[in-house]
Amino acid sequence: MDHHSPGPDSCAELRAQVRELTAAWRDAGRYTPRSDSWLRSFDLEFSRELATRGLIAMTYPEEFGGAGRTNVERLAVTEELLRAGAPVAAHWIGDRQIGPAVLRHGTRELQEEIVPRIASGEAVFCLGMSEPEAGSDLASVRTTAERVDGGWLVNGHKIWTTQAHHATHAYLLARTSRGERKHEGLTEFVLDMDAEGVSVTPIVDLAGEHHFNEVRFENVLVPAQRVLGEVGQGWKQVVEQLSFERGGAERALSSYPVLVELISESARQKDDRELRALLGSLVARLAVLRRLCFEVAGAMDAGQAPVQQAAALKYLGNAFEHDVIEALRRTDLCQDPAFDSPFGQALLASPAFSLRGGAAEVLLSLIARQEARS
Amino acid sequence: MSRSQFADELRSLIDDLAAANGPDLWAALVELGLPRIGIEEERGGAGGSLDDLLVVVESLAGHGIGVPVVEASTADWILGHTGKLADGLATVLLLAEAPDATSGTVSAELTSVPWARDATRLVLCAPGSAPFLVNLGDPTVHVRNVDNIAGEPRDTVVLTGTPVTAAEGGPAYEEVRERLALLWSAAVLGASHGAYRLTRTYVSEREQFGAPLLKIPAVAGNLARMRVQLVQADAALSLAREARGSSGAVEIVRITTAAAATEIAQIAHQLHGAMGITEEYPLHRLTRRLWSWRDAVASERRWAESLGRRAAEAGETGVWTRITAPAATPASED
Repeated sequence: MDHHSPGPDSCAELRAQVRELTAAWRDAGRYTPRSDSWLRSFDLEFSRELATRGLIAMTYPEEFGGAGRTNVERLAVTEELLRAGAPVAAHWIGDRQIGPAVLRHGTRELQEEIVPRIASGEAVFCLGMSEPEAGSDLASVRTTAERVDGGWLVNGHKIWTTQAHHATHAYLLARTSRGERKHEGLTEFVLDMDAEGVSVTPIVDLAGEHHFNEVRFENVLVPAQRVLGEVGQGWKQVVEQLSFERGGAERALSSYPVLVELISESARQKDDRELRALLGSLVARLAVLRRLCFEVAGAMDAGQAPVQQAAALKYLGNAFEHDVIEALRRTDLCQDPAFDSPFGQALLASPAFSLRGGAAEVLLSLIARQEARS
Repeated sequence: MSRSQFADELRSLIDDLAAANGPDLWAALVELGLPRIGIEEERGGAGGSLDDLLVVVESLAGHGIGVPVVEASTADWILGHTGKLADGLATVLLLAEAPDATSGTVSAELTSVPWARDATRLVLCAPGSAPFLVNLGDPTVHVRNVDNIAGEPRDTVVLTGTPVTAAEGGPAYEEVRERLALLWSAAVLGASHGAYRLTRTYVSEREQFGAPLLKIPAVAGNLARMRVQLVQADAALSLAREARGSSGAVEIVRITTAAAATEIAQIAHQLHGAMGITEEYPLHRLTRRLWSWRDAVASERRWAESLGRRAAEAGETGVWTRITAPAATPASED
């Protein structure tokens, strides 16, 4: 792909554009900033507003409704949206990883069908990866897709499927053959959530919020052209997808609104040198995490899939997100936290930070395996 | 030759010198002009950039080699501003306030003067004044040997009416402090990498319970934790190199490398077991330096407080703007 160079000016312009838009929506009361907004704050209208401004599908080619920009430019936009706690959950998954996966592996036909609809905010994706018996051990997928006339018959059960109740489409990882090794015989599909045989049941989280779901597939017919990439090569493809899933700013900024409170409180508590030092350490970590996001984006622009670096970023970013919340406990703001305060929201969301998208333990073992090889 | 090619050549040169690790290593380094990289040739330097010097410092530290490269390169860089460099080892000390030198002499007891016993000249830097140059060979100078926990000279120097000369035209105290902080960050990063390499080799080769230690998941997880600390520290140094001169970058790299050093030294020893605490095994050459160097110039805590104070004053907008300020694109380093 022939990318134009992301000069500092283009990123500055994009930032300004996002700040203006989020400020306008916030001031008009059209959204309330919150922690973990990329997963929990769903507003199709806002996503479509971004789409009309070319602020989603930014790295996709123009012929598919994208803006032909770089991942570095996309980072400028995503980190500003996260900073603003904007309602971006409707397009986040599709924009982040499904569009790129279809562009990498999909047939021309599938690209033409799916990618422009992600770019316009029309297609809302959920991820059919985890299963009751295959969470961290993603490769032990049991959902099957059996070859039939005209396509594939899917049967199985996915869990922890974020925003499935709003999704128009699902990405699905299913077993298409049983080989010696569990990593073989997996295939990726794109399917319609309104297809016959798909059912969604909510799972309410500990904060009383509904973002998770269980999704069941009972004899769901998926047309042959909805196979993503090569039959049987699903594992290799999904591993590449993980660098998109893990290497973004959302892996460090889920508790950002709490850091904002900590900065203000440190300004008020001028004599609290301990608090200053704590804030200084956190700011240093944020600056480095942001640099890692920038490096991962640069590697993607160079055509690489920086799986290892993305895993390190996610591990470090999640630890930072937790520590920001814990840092606020050094102030009095943590006492009897209101349910909808930034601290309360972030704390209740925090157990998921180092689980979703690869648990901390899984990331460490992935990094360790790489180290043993190198 | 591209920048990264030159850096690779510097690294392999130092690897060769380290492999030969004889008592004359420092003399060999001086002979090759390595401690004077980053100083213009017309001033008696070896040419090259600060980035090249950072490579030298990082590589030497990676071998657990204790030589006065940070101090000598900085002292010579200061003196290079004021005239041509002389032979002999120069060292440098930062002071919280300038000594009283109104009569052209100074009387003071200076502690933690690096390598004073081996040096011929000492540069004193304090806020708001030109650097002072002290001839350590002067009969009024008395040096008491003191070592830091890495066994490196951090001597006490007693000046009694010792003549000093002001190095007019020299860099400001803040510039010297920033350069030292950057160099120490590179040293800490290098020694962290060294401790990691040693540990990875050890857990891959050492067998317990019938298999290499690395087969134990808790051991593998700890090795991975060392790796992510290195990823973080590498990124911090890249950031600081590119953002040189911008406030905050020095604090960030000092805090990050110090925190990485702490975790890496702790895990390295844990994974080495009792072997790591013997004099014979080389791990302590790295970890004792990590423990000394992580708080060089100022402690991690001081840097954190300073960055935190600035963050509180700047507010969220200021912090965010600084963190996301455009840098060179990652590919453009070469």
